[in-house]
Amino acid sequence: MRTSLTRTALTRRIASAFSDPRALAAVLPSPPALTPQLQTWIARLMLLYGVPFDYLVPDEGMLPPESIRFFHVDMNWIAALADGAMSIARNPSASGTPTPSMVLDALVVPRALEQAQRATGEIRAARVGAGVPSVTLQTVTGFLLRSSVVRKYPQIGVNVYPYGATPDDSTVTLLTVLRWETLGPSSDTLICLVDGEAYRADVHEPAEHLHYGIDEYSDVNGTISASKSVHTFTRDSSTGAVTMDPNGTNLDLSTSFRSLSPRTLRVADAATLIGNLSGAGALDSAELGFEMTEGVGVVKFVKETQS
Amino acid sequence: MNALIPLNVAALRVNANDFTSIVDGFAGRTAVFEQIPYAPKTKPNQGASTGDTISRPLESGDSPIDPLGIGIHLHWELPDYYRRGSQPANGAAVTFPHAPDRWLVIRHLRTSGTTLGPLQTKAWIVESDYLSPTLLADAQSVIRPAVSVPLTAKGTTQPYLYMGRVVEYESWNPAGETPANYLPAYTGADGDPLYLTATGFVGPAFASYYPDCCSVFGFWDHFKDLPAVYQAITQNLATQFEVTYQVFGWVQDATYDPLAGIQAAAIRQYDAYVAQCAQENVAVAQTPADVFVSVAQHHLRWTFDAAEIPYTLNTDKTVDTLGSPASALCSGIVQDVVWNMGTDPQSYFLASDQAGDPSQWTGQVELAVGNTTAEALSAILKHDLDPGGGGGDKLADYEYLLDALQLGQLRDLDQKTTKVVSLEEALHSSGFSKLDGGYVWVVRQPMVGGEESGTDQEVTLPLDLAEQLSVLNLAQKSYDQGRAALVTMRQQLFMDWIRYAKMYAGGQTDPNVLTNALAAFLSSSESGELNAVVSAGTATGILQYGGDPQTQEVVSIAQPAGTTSLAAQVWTAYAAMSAALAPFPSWVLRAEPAAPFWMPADPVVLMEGDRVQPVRRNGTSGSLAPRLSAQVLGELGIAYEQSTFVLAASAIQGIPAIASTTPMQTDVAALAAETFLLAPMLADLAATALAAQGGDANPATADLAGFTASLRAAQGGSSPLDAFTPSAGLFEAVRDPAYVPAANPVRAVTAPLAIRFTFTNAATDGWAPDPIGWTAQHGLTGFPASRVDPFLPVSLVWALQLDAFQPGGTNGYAAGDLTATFALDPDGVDYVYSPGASFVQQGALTYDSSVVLSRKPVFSLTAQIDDYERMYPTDPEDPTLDTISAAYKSRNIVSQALSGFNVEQTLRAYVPQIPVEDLVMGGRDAVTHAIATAANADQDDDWYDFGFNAQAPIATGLLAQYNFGPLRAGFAEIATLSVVDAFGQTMALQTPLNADGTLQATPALTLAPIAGDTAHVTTAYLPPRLLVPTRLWFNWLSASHDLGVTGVTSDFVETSTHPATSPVCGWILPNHLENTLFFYDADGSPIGSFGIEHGTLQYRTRPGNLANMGDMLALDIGEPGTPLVNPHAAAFMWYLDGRDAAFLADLMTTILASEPFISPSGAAQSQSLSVLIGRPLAIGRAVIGLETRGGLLPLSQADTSSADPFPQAVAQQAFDYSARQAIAAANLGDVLFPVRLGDLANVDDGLVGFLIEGDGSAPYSTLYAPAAPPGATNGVERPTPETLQLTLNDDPVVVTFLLDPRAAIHATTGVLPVAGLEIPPDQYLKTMQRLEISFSVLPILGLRTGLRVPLPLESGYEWSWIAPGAAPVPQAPNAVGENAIGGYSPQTIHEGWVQLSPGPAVP
Repeated sequence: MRTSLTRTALTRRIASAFSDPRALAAVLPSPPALTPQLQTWIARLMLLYGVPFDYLVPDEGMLPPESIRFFHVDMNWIAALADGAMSIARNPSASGTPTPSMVLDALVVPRALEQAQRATGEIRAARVGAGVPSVTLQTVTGFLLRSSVVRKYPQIGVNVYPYGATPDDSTVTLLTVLRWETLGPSSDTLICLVDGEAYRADVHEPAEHLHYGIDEYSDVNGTISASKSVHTFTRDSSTGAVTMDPNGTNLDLSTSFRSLSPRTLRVADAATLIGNLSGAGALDSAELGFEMTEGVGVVKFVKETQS
Repeated sequence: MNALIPLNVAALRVNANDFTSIVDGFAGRTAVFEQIPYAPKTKPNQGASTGDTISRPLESGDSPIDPLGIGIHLHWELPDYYRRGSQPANGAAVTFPHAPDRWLVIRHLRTSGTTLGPLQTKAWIVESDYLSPTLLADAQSVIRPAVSVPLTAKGTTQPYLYMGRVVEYESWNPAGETPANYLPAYTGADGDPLYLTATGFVGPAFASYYPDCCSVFGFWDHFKDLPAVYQAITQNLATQFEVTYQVFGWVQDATYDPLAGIQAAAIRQYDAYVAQCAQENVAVAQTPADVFVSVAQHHLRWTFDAAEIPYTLNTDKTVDTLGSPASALCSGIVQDVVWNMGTDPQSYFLASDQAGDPSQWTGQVELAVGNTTAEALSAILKHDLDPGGGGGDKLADYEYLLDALQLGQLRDLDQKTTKVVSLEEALHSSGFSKLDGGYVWVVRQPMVGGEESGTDQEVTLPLDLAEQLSVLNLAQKSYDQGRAALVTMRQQLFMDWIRYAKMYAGGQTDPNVLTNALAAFLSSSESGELNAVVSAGTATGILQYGGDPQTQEVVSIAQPAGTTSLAAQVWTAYAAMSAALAPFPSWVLRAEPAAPFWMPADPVVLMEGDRVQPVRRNGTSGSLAPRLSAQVLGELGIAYEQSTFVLAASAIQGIPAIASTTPMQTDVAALAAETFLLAPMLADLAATALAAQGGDANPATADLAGFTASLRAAQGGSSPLDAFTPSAGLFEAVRDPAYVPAANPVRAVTAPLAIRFTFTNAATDGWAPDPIGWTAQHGLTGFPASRVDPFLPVSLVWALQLDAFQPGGTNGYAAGDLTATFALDPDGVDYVYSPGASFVQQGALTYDSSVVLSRKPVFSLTAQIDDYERMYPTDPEDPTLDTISAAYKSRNIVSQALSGFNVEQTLRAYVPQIPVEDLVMGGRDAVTHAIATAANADQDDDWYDFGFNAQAPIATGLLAQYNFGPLRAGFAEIATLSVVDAFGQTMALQTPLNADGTLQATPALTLAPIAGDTAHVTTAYLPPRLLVPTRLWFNWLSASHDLGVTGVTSDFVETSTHPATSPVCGWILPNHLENTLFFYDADGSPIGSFGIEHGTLQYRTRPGNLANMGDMLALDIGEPGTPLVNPHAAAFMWYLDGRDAAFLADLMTTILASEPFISPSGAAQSQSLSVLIGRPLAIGRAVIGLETRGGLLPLSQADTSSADPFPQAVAQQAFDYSARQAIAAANLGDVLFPVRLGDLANVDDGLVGFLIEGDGSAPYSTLYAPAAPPGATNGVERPTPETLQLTLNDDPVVVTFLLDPRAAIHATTGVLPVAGLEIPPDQYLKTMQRLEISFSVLPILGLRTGLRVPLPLESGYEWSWIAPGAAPVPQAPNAVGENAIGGYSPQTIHEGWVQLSPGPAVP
């Protein structure tokens, strides 16, 4: 009689296939992968999308108005969360014997999670239309910001730096922002998740908020007092090249405001004042731009001790 | 236009020496009706007219009654269409088409040698169905042998006539025939007019076996019309001549021509198709010619070319005229048969190379035995690879893979586990043959616009209709079983009558039975077997079915007479069902074949050897492409040098004239002329005709001899005995396997003259004849070169030795006979024995019989390989298969089932069917008269129509001495085998011998003795088989019933494969995490769950059920006996309630362990949420029983001592069959047959566990499950062979299943094919999707404002939250709450369930 392909062998083969993930891997060399939709869904879950807020902040008092709370994300908790999501098709057993679906999970789920992890970088990239960053998801940190700023400046941004690579250091590294969004349409609470150990977070106005501005302005009973630190410069008459003094010089602009409308700057006057300071006469538009442009506002949060 | 059907003609030469010394040793006529005893010729006590004198079976070895005379014997093989019978709907005997009954034989003869003599042509008509009381002399005063038939000559008492005569063609006058002299003037035993068929009065061998049909489908040319030739051949003078025979055949009464009616059917079908196209507003795509082609293909298996069939259409696109062939003309030639009698008066044409017995050839063969040809073929191939038999497992695997290849299961065998299982089952099943199981009625929804009835969908019915249907089907089943029983009883009566007639009229004495006692047993005024059979017939009645002319399906029944018979009961139920269906006009009621009964196949022996030529006279393809009248060759195109000539066949001298009285005269004439373009012996006449045309560069004028030789080379088909050089002409070309038939074939010849011949006709549409109908003398492979006469095997005479199973009971079988010796192979589906077991009688008996060699094309491994490669052109195994294919392409392999072996085990033998009559004692024999009268009493239910006279008892002799074996098992060996050819020539097949003198044969895998059984190494192991048609009655029980329909008192058995209502009684969803089983009612509504809490079994009602806060089972399902839910679900739950925690733990473990073994391949299409979430198990109930056809067991006919069944039955007046069964069935009814339910190796088997139902309100005890933990003692156990044992025809056992409804449940008995039972998806899917599922949740944070659970949106479902003791609170999906909002603290912790219940679908 034949020896292979018998029923006993078959039955044993079926039974052993589901005995442990390694045996299953032998008969299922390329286990099924997640579909793109599922992959995105689980990646979002890993970024806490769909997690009720009250799970993250069990009591309102833990995030009072005008507060910021930094945190580490427990990746075990995230793994459990994703696992829970995938457990809907699982028939687990309380006994020591793993059920076939558990064995299948043991083989399939780690790969699926890995797949989903890789996809977490795509979520924000897709929102902002940027290239997909590569993420490690070893350590995820972040903060919750509850402030009126959040509501008033819906477009504020953030730069997050690890320890030793901030703009104050010789090399700068930006951590990948995984999630940066307000929690709700007109919410005052914002969540930030970054891939890596955050040391310093610069929360800033939106980059598009570049504007002309002055440093100081006061109106005391119609008396305007205004000044701006400008940079003196020299102009090479042959090449038109401009050399600026890196140090600013305070320039009083108090006279450049309209008397009847004291918040309106007479730009031509101001330009003349600036030009005169450097002895350059009339300014061209580029030079005015250099002198008048103000950057966005930045609030810098730094972790006090680097563990 | 007519269809020209190729007819295979074989010519056998018999010279004077052959006549003297050889032909006497041939096999002869098997039917010798002229020897039937009758008064006044036969006196009482000289023999009875019961038929044993009229049959001389081939295995008897008797000398032929009419040895072949000197001359040439022609035999033509009837085309396949005429040999295919069909069975009417009511199960009566198979009927055959009218066979051609007029044959025109034309002979062209020329003396030969160095030159050819003048052409002498002569023609005869063979009138196949002419009847005469005496043998007739022909025009040359030669008494021709004729076959005898069992008909009484009108006006005489002579109970036989001779059939067939030969008339010279010139004196043949069909108009002057006297109809009374022909077969249709006579009626058969059933009263219907007779007509000529391929089976005649003999059986399937009739038309193929010349000795039995010599005057019907054959012709003996004794040459007495040519005195010189006659003198030479009869006096052994040196002579040489050659002849060409052309044979035409037709059905004289054109009404019965096969093509009559085909044209009308095609027109009807086409017009219906046009109407349908118009109705559905689609374009008419087919032509009437296409439709004709498909109708002809379907009915006749003749393939026509639609392009050749002209038609015209009416303006409404219906058929105006259709020029399809009107009649069929059989036509064949055998050309250039050389009679080369040298000067040596001792020379023979037919002597074998065996010195001892020149009448008999011998053939060295290799043999293999199997249940099927495929198996045996694999075995012989394995044997070839490893003749010593030491090849071990690898070769066994090779054989297994070959089996897989042949059954089409090779692909992915190692990948898909189900393949191995299905291969095993397919191998096992192919060892059985199906027998009609009656009808089952189903309600179908016809496909709109569908032509194929097979695509109709069976529907799930409302309960009352399902019940009505069940009543109908149970009535139908009773009727079908009643009819089958009736046939069995009538056959028994016939066999008993044979015994009686031999004693009463034949003078045989039986020491155990007195004639008078037997007479009284058979027939007395009040009782007796005849009365019992007649009463059974009255009680059963007969139904006449109405069929659909298109699909041949049974669609209605006619009202039978009376009101009480089983037939009448079917009609009543049918009428009620029809009425009940009236409100549903789109549903139709149809009868389908019911589950068949199975009989084990007789063993198949496969023979391979040089001299074993497969019988393929009508080709191998099974279908035929006949030429049409317009396609006959009529011209020869000749291109020679720069000139071309056209030679019309009609210009050739010597073409015989065809009289206008000949049907299809034009075609016959054209074909007769065609021969002059094809036969080399006539080529010089064509050359002369061409020469007469003259013209420039006429090759025949230039070189007549050279042209003649060139034409012969182009024609081909010369005899090897001829002076002409054998060549590769058209004759050989059409035989090339690569030949593609095409119009106007061309043969270019280079020598002696370079001529290009085109075989064509005036319309340039000439086609070469089919090789089937165009034959010539040729040498035979494996035979000496001098042998040029055909050897055409038609029958196999076999003798088998069987060392049979020894029953264990005192008077037959004991209940445990099967289980004591055999065990179902855990690795297979059949029985195995243990090596040490001694279960046979230790003495082999010889069974012998003869069988007509199967006419199916012999199973071709190479064709199977080609198919496989076509299907899987990129399979890496293809090159290996090519090698195998090349190695076996040239082999001669013939296989044959040893028919008769099984029937002999039950002590009966097939006999020629003769009427019940006593021709010796006549009117004095009241018993015979009474039986004969009863047989013909009802025209609709004539006993002869149902073959009641086909078997005779084996009452005495060795076989009858304790060898009644309806449970066949044992070890078999082949004692002898010989082949009989179409002319009666024989060939003994030889192999090296076993020690006991039997032939060496390799048993197939399935018949191999088990490893280690040294005593039976040379034998084939026959595993236990029931030699009575049996089926497993394995059907669902409806889940519920009501009493609204008369006749329904309990759950009814679903008889069709698609149950009319759902058999699901309830559902169980296991939760292994919590170790609970959640129960649902049949409709999917939740009930509650059983779980283990603190070590005890605890019932909990469904979450949110405020009505049952105390978790009382009775509140949810009702007290035992008064269920509030499905009664069977309730019974099961009460059963579970009565167990303990250990039972539930074991059950949970079992369900868990079953999981990997159930993975239905069709599951993807039955995806539902509940399957995703858990694996719901259905509770279903089924009946399982073993029933024989007619509910009866075979009876032993033994009469070797007074204690034997036959004398005992007579002595005890057990004329009632069931009473007699107690005496004569060897207690077969006591034998227990274990049934194995479920199959772990088959992932398509859904069984988790089963319970055998007892009576009463607590019907359950142990739960059996194949995947139960080993050694479990808490009430969940693995089944053993003793768990479920059935006896034949006992009440079916009711079994409750826990099953995965997506897969079937398999029942394995070993003695029958594996049976599967499944629930159609439409009956479980909806409910499965409706199952409400509660997920227990603990803990969950709740907001101050209320609980909000993050739940996904599931289309078609709704969520709710159930807190303990509270009603469900609906929950919105996707209300995630991921947004930061205020006012939610403080939070609280909740426990409870989220429930997913079906709701409206969300788009």
